[in-house]
Amino acid sequence: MSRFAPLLTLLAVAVLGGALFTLNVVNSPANSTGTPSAAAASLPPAAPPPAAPPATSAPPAAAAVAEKAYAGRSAGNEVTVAIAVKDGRAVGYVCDGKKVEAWLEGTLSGSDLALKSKDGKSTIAGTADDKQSFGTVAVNGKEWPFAAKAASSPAGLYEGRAQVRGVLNRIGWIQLQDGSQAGVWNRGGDEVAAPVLDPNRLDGVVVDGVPVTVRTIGGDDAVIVR
Amino acid sequence: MSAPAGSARTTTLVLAFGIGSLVSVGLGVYARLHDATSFAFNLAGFSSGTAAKAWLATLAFALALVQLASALIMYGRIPVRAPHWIGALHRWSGRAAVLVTVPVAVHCLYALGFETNALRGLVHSVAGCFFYGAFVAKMLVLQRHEAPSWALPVLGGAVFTGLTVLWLTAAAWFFGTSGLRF
Repeated sequence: MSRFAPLLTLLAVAVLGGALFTLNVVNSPANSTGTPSAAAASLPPAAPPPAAPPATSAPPAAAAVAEKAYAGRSAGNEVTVAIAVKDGRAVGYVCDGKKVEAWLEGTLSGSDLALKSKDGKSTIAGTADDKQSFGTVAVNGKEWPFAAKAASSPAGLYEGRAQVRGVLNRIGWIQLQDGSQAGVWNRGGDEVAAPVLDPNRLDGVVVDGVPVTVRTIGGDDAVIVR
Repeated sequence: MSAPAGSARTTTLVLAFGIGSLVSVGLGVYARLHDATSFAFNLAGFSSGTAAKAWLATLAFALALVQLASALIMYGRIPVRAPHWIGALHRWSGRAAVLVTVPVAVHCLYALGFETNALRGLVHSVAGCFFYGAFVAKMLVLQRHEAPSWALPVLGGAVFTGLTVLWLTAAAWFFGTSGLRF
């Protein structure tokens, strides 16, 4: 037995790695389309590492928060994140204030958030309660931890739309509790920094001479353009 | 030293370092070619997958410090009388440490992939591949008693260095930027 101890150690590492890897592949959203909440639910690993706390995966629960908006940033301030939830539905917006942005939709099940963009390349996975939301945000293959506090008006998520010479211009703004703002202006696919939005005067934004229709976004709004 | 013993030594070293290198390169190639999913299941009880990873990695690093200390005692570099259980402590803390790193590494490989855009990510990716290669080489050298005496400390040091770099470029960075949280 002990004669082969190092090989057995190697084998144990390989088996654990293989088991976790298989779990990932089996539970990947790409392989279970249509059930984002189920795919993102916490799953206890097949062979828990010695250090892991006892896995307590809750059954699908009613949303922990009825209606709330959150606004915050990723750990290294790479992106700004806003999430709005209502009755178990969640919408989100992530942007860097310069040219990267993503609109996401998903669910709040219990305290578990799971959102993804139309193409699935951007995701938010985390938790939300009365005071804050924590989790991981991924945009186009890059991933960051984020923290967002519950936002009270005027902080929150705003969307603006305007047709400029037949091209849909769409702007997303995140107004943070501290008064700062981040937004990206999508001019029919070309993304630039958003013009400033005065949250107390939503009809005041004009792009290329065209007034922008701005609305606040709640958890029950549709933000993914189909 | 007889000739057969000498050639057995060489064979052991070539095998161990060769297979270890293959593991390193294989992991790196997979991480680079595989389409990062940005998705992996989370461990229950943590606020995010990243927090869970950071804590598991921190536990592994703590166990690695036990590894370093127990190895120094076994090699007589710390002037204390080695307790009879020092070998068992070294073996079991090492096994625990490497097993704890596995869920972290699987998440990195599956959800994130080989990062080349940012220096922190690049250093971390290279160190991750190096760590498992060095670990495999060390286990193989341990298995064969013919290996020269310098091989184990060198490989052990390489594994420890790899894990330290991994921890500094990820867990320490995470806690430093987002605060200590679970």
